[in-house]
Amino acid sequence: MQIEPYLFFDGQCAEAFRTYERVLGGEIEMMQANRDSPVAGETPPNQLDRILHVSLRVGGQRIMGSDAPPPHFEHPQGFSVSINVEEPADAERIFAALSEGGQVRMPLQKTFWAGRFGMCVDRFGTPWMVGCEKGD
Amino acid sequence: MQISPYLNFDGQCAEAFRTYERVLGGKITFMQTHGESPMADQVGPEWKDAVMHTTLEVGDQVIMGSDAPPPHFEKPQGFSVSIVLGDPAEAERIFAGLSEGGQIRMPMQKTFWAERFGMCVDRFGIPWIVNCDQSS
Repeated sequence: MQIEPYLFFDGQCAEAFRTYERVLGGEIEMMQANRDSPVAGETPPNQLDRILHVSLRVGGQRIMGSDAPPPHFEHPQGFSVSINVEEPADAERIFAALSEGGQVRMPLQKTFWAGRFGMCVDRFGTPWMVGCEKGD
Repeated sequence: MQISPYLNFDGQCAEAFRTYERVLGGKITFMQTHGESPMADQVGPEWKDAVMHTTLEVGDQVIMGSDAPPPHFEKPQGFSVSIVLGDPAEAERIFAGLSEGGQIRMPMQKTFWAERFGMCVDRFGIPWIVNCDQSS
């Protein structure tokens, strides 16, 4: 059984996943736009470039997503994608990249449970938590 | 790097995670209430039993969560927790377990990409996708 976050976007799914691929050091193993899928014939022309499904592999794990067909898109909230890393320097780099152009909810800092912990919403609307057990 | 869904609740986190533990066949390896945490003196008495952090391990993957203290709770939306597995009977059982008392958005069915696929929101407000692909 695989348990993975499935993220929804309003047209920025491809750009978001290319960003996550670069920042997290993964590889997009599958990305299909509506125009390249079996639903192309039922898709309005202005939605053909929206992503039907994308899968980003990072090590043995995946993050998946798609552009929600209008009017089904809902602003993402009430969850986060949690990223836990071994090294404080990686936490700093990943947190900085994810929050670039987005919103920092809790700056990356030392807490009673982690050497580094921070919360942000990226510029595509996805909420993240970045943590690292080890401190300096 | 570990990538995990982090889920927010409005006071039902403990009950939700005990349900997920049973339905997904995992084990809760950590659960701490606000009252048991170093932040005990920063929350009102009515919030002492709310969960500050919990971790459910399912195989080598984890789902984490907490009760978001008021007024920080936001209704979970704009994402799903995706469960991918290979056994159709197991997929049916898990989908039934998660959707019990909740809302089915797309009943379990065969699609062009999956042997079984369904979407629901559980009774604790969390959106799920169950995808059965016999090649996985």
